[in-house]
Amino acid sequence: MALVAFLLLSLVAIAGALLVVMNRSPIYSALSLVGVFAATAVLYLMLSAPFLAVLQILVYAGAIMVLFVFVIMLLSLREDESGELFGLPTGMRRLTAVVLSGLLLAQFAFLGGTMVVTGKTGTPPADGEALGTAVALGERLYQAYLVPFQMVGILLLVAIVGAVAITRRHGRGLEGHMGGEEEQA
Amino acid sequence: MPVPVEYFQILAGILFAIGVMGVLFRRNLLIIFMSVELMLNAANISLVAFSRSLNNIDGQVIVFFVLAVAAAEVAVGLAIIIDLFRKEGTVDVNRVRLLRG
Repeated sequence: MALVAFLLLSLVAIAGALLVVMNRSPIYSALSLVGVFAATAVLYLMLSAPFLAVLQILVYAGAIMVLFVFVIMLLSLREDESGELFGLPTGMRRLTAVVLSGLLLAQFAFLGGTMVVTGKTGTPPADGEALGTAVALGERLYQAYLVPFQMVGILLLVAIVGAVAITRRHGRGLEGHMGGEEEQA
Repeated sequence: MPVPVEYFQILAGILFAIGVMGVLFRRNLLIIFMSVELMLNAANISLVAFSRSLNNIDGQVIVFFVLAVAAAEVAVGLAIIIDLFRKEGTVDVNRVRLLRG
């Protein structure tokens, strides 16, 4: 029962990931990525991490993907990569990419295969109480991981300020300065 | 009957490899960025699976931090992409030569 659900979900996730990589238009890639994130959220539920599942939907499928779709719409891209399947100019780069990713996949397959054969990590304990509830995760975050938690807040603030500073067009900030140099050159 | 944790690791490995494939294959900067998100997601699946099998919540805390850092990264990265598009008129990595020596 759980295995069937897992297989279906991983099928959805892998198909969505392949669509992300192989779609020609970025907007379809973004929508496929939302599917991958949703499947991942259900996987988190299966792994008794309900709080992270909600967070995954809210932060990834909600905030991050909305940002992606917004930027894709804003840029109004031309179909630059039309023509070839993956839009690679030379055979050498295509060969390199295939060899490198194939090597990585083979390594993962070997690792996973040995894990299955030897059963080193073992099966998880049968479904007892939920591990990652909001209460449990919150206690851990506010006690053992208090300082990193505060630093994440500072990081988000710096990211917001940085994003505004980078995209500001006619400001006296860094962007306007660099734009001026560009015109002189 | 719970699903063995190895299956989750294999799934995470496959998703990570697909993400690497996207970064290596594609030239569109936005799709490369989405592939990076895919790789982060794969790492998160792996962390949560190990957290379950070890019955330790610290893995989930790390996933929480990864989520926050990914959000910050996307904000700054998309800002850079928008600025690049304004200057160059393209998001094709082969046509961007600002930093090419």
